[in-house]
Order: sequence, then C-alpha cells, then structure tokens
Amino acid sequence: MDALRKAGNNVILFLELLLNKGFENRLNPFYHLGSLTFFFFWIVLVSGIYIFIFFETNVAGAYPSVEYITHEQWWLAGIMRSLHRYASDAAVISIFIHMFRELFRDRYRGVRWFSWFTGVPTLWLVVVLGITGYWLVWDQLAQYVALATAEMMDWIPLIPSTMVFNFLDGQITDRFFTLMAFLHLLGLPIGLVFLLWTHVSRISQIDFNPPRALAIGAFLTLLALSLIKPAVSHAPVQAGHAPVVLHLDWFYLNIYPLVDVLGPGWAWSISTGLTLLLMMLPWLPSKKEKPCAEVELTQCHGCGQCAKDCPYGSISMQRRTDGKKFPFEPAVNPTLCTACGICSGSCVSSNPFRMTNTTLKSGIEMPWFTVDALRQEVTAKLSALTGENRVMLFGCEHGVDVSTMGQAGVAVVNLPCSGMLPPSMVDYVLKNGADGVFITGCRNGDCYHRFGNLWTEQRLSGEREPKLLKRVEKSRVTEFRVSNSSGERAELTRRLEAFRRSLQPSA
Amino acid sequence: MPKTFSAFMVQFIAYACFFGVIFVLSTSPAYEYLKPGQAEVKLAFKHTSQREQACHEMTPEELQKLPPNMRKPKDCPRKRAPIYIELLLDDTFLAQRTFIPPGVSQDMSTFVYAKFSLPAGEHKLTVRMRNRLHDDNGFDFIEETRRNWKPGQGIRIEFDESVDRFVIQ
Repeated sequence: MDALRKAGNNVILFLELLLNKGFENRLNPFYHLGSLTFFFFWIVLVSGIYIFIFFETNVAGAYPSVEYITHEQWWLAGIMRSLHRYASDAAVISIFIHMFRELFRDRYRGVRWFSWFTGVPTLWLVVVLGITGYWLVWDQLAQYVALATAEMMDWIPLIPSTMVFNFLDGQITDRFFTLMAFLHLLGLPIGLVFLLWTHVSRISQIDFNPPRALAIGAFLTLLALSLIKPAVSHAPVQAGHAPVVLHLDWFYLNIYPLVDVLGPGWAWSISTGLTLLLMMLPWLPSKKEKPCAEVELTQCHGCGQCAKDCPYGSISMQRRTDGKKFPFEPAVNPTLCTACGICSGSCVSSNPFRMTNTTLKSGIEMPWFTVDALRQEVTAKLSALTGENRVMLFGCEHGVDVSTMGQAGVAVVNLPCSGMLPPSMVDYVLKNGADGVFITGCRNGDCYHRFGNLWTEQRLSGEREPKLLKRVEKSRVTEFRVSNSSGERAELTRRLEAFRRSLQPSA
Repeated sequence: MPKTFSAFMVQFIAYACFFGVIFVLSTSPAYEYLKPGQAEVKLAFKHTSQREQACHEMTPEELQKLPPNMRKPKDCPRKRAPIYIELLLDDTFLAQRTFIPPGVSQDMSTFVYAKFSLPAGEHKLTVRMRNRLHDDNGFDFIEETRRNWKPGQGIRIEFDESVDRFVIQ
C-alpha cells in the first residue's frame, strides 16, 4: 500500500507542478476539487430547474417533452439540458480526482478517516442520482437502464423477483414514473445534501466556492461542449424492439455492461466489494496520530485564536473553568486533532522571549514537541551556527525533508507544520545570532494541514494574529514552499543560497 | 489571464483534457448490446410449478399420532418442483435455465425471467418447460413457431395460465 501511495503521490505532484505553471498555485484546479464539485452541482441544479419547467412527468409525455427541450428550444432549454448532463459528468471527474488525490497524498487516514468514510457512499448517491436522470428521458437507453437496474434489484435475495416485470416492452405506469421523478428531483438530492454535509462536517472553514477565474473557465468549457456536442436522446421506447447499440454515459452507466456480461450477482459483488474496500482503506493500515494538543490554562488568555486557526475544527471555546477573569477557554476534541501544532503557533503565549529563566509554557501545546522544546532546539542550533550569512531554516514534515540541508551557516529545525512556528520565534532567531530566517513547507495552496502555509504567511505579513513585530526587517525573512520531489529540492537549495548571499550581517 | 505563453498553453491543454474526457466518455465508446443481425428473446412470466410429492391420504393411525388441531385428511408436502426451460432454434439447442421456486419451503409461484439472443432470419423457435419431477426428463409444455425474426427484434415469451400454454410474440 505504501509503494502504491508513493507512486500515486509522485504522479499527483508532477501533474500539480505542471498545473501550477499554467494556473499558478492560487488557481490550480487540483487544489479546488471539492469546491469545483460543489460548483458543478450548482450548474446541475440551476439547469435542472429550468428544464423541469418543460418536462412532463408521465410516460407518454416524457420523451416528447425532452425532444421539445432538445430540438425546439435548443437555444436555451437544449443548452441547459447539455449543461445538466456535462456538469454531472464533470462532477464525477472532480470527485474521482479528489478521491485519488486524498488517497495518494495520505490525507484519508487517522483523524481524517471520517471524511473519507462518508465520501464513499456520497459517490454512490451521486451515481444513483445520475442513473435516475437517464431514466426520466424514457428513451431506449432509459428502458435498458430500467430493465438492467430491475435485474440487479431482483437478484437481491429476500426481495420478490418482480421488479423487472414493470419494464418489459416499455410497460411502465405513470405512478412509477412519477416516483422516479420524485427521487431524481427531490429525494436523492436531499439525501446528497445531507451526505455532503456529513462529509465536510469534521473540517472547518470550508471553501464551497472555487476561485472565480477557475469557475468561469470550467463553465465556459462545459458551455462549449454543450454547443459543439448537444446532449440528445436515443430513439423512443418501442414495443417489440430491443436496443442494439447504446451510447452510454460511462461516467454513470458503466455498471450495466457488467450486468450483461457477468450477471447481476457479479456486478453487485464487484461494486459492493470495491465500495467496502474503499471504505475500509483508512484502516488498511491505519495511521497513528501523535498525542493531541493540550491546553495550559495558566498561560491562556482565552483569545480564541487557536480555535480560529485550527484547520480541523478540533478546538472550541467554552466557559472558563479556572475562575480567571477571561470569559472563555479552549477545549480540544482529541478525535479531531491531528497534532499539527498550528494552534501552538497561533498562541500569543508561545513567545520565546517569555519565561527565559524557566520552562516556557504556552496556552496550548503539543505534548510531544512543546514550545519550550522548540526554543531549546533553536537556541542550541543558533549557538552552533558559524560563518557569515547565518540562516535558520525551518521545514515541515510534509514538504522537502530539510534534515540533511544543514551546513556551515545553515541551521535546520523541522516542524510538524510550518504553521506551528510562532512569529515571535522568528524575531527570537534574528535576535540570537542568525542573519536570516528561511521557512519552507508544502507547496502554496496545498498545505497538508490545510492552512499552515496561509496562516504563517499572514502572520509574517501582519495580516493575522499573532503578528510578526514591525521591528523585524522583512528582508531577513523569506518563505519558499515546495514539495519533496528532487527537482524542487534543488530549487529550494538554490533559493536558500541566494537568500544567504542577499543577507547583510545583523547589526 | 495567463501571464506567459507557456502558462496559456498549460491552461489550454488542461481545459482541453477536461473537455475531451467528457466529450468522449459521455457517449462513447458505443456499447453493442445486441450484435448486428441478432434478435433478443425474453422469457418473462409467473408460473406455479407442481408439488414435488403428491398429496396422500392420511391413515387413521397416522392421524392419531398428530395433535388434534393438526389432523387433516390429506398430507401435502409444500415443496414445489423446479421449473426447467429449454429454448431450441431450428431444433438445435439454444439455451436452458432452471428456476427454483422462492420461499423458505420453496412453495411459492416462480417469476421466470431470462434473456437470450438469436440470429435474425427465418427460424423455428421452440420453447419447452418441465414444471414437475419426471422420471423420463419429459416436458409438460412445448410451443414452437416458425417466423422471420428481424434484427433488433424483441421477442417475448410468456406463459398464459388461463389456457396453459406458451405465447410467443
């Protein structure tokens, strides 16, 4: 599994590097797959509402009404129908890339199991929603889909094997057809909204909307597709005629040829087996998280910055329990904490200039890597720094492995996430012997812990608490964020050397 | 907007891939459900097969052994025989299926559903069914018809219980 994940990770990193060159990190579509999927659902919803105005939810009227939508009012309803179909297809693409990306980038295990686990049935619901959509057209493809679905349902033990008799020779009642319309238009979408809400319920500050430029690009692509290749129906259902050639939408209807070739039993076994395997992946093998953050109330002012910065919503503010004058204190939910240390970096008490003669304590800390331990490591490495243009290099576990980059004039400290670095530590480093601070970590827009990059950047530029003091010369602090691929590692080395050359010795 | 030509090209290729994947996979490759020159036969009907064992009259001694509320003059084992169906094309074996009656005691009516393809053209189609246990593997119902089957034709075979015979349409 590790070898597969590593190989997949390299492929994803390579593709993302290419996309970063074209789109820049901010607009890289791979960094916005979740929000792009939501955007495609919006297109599906709006276009679906419009075509429903003209759609007749009965067996006799369905096909002619879809033909009217497609050919008579092609200039709007027809385009809407095509957008409806192609945005649904696009959603499957974005969901699958999203799934494989989270898998290969190892973002599906440990505390993150819940989003993965709930995402798999969401995929099923999306597919079922798509299938019911094809059903509503009531053309030969719809009849084939209905019949094959009925064959699958009839295979299930304990269910009376009678569903298939509803669809022979297009013999379907209006009532059943209305039921399918209800499922497609209301029942399944409500279920999907509920599952999506569950899927994202354990992460905070969710970006539901993709960047505008990306949304426009994706929409224009779908619009072009709708104009060049309008969605059309198959021939109408005719008694005494079997479908010969079907133009399946392989994004949604891929299981049906499997039913024809292997039979419904195998189709169920393969699809259910794959689903269960996917759902169980977070435990094959599982990932053990480090001990989660701990609150030290004696040092906490109850400002709530840790709760604002936590990427996983694991910190909530509750009524103060120690009788101090501050109204709130943070509480950590261990089942949500990934021990990234971002909360520790956000705490104003994580200031290395405090408690210099005793153990430094912060309001919230990682028990396995306290701020005091960080200060001790930094102090020790600073004292060992020699030569000119001395630089302290801070790396993170998920970017380039910086542990081997130490050399004369360069001291290295590895953090679980660059977001764990309190801005005051940068000041401390510069005050205690270094000429510059170089921070690296995951690529911009692709932080393993979601916001470690962004929060660090904002803290250093003074846009976010705790801010880097203005007295710190900005030219002595730099960030360069890359992945752990060899090409980027070389670029990081070049940047580090260039940064060192640019430094003047501290006054 | 892309700042350089190479950035523009990367964006163009990315959107083209997005476009191309949907363009192709939304309708193709075409799925050949029936091979050219073939028709499809669907067997679809509900039928109650005969009991595997005939009812027998209970003797007074047998009845005496049963609790009073369970004494019935006839003992009828509930289990019904499997339904066995064969299709022949021009007297050549085409397909066969066996359907086990549903229910815990296998005593319910059976929903028979199966589909097969056959070459179009003028052929004799024979369907025969066994709905009881036979010592000689004989058949209880046989129906045959010679017609000119068209490519892509959907042939439906039902069993009309009101007249106890197959209907091929």
